[in-house]
Amino acid sequence: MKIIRAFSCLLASASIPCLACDGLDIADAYVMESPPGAGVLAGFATLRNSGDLPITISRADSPDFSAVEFHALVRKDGLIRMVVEGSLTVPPHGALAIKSGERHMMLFKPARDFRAGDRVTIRLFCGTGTRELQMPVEKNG
Amino acid sequence: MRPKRVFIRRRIVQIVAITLVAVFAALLGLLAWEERARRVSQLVSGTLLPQARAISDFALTGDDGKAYTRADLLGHWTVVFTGYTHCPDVCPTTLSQLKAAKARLGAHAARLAVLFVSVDPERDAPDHLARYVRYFDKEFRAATAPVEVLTALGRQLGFVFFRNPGPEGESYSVDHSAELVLIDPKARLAGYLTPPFYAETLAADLKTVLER
Repeated sequence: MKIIRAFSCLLASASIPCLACDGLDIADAYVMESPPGAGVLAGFATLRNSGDLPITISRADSPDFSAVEFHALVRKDGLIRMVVEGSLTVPPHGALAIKSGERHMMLFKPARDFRAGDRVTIRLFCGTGTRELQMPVEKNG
Repeated sequence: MRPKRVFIRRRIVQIVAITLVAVFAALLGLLAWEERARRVSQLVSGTLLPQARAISDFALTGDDGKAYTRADLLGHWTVVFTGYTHCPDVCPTTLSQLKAAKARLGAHAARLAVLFVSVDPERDAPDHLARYVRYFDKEFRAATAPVEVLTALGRQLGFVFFRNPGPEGESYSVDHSAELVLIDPKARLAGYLTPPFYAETLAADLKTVLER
């Protein structure tokens, strides 16, 4: 299991206290490789909260994409609909799966075509801090 | 009188016995026929129509920029998936599963065409669709058309789609049917494959269909 730990503390200047999403562990993060010229990509990960309080991720951004949103897939009456989720909440001592077929990070307008083996950077904003993720691009299946 | 009565009784017994055997044989035959019909129409994850339904002519624009019509469906089975390229999870995943399922079909695969119908003509130009589907499989084809044409085709094939405006208006998504549509070599609607899709069950169902 790949655990990606906080990078933001390394990036933040030493004078700023590191409050970055304490208790949040992120595992199995990856971005699905998409056909060349794809206008959107999907990112997935499992978020775990080892703390006693819920962790709410209010938004995300990325230097590699024009915007990042959280989307859930809703299946109703034989239709598939993508629904924007304003924020994600990871329950205390619990987990939230951003999992293919259920939920994804919607990554708009990639700066270039990303291939399997590349890495993309995503920043999650939770409370007062941020958590930076390096997500590998992987082939589907 | 007596021998005649015995004769009649024997005849009656004979006729009843023959009738019983005939009825029993007919029942067995019917059961076997039903069993065969059940087996043929039974898919792991989908349904075959009891009677394939004719499709009237239509004109989409293929990923080569040329017309894609009913005639392009003739002579092979076609599995149609409706989606759009700004769908980052379900569409690439389904196309990848179709590729994996096709790889399991062996020689049968030559009699199966995969058609991706984009229900987002505004953003999915033919050349973009060509690059998109060919990434999954060199033989996959894509087509699209103005919304009215797609709506009419949807009525025939049983798929629907709705544009779902995003919060900023620019980044809209399109709600779309999740089923795969099966079209037989006579260009008739034959049935549907229903999600969730797995390469193994998809391959098993496609094999059942191709062996019909």
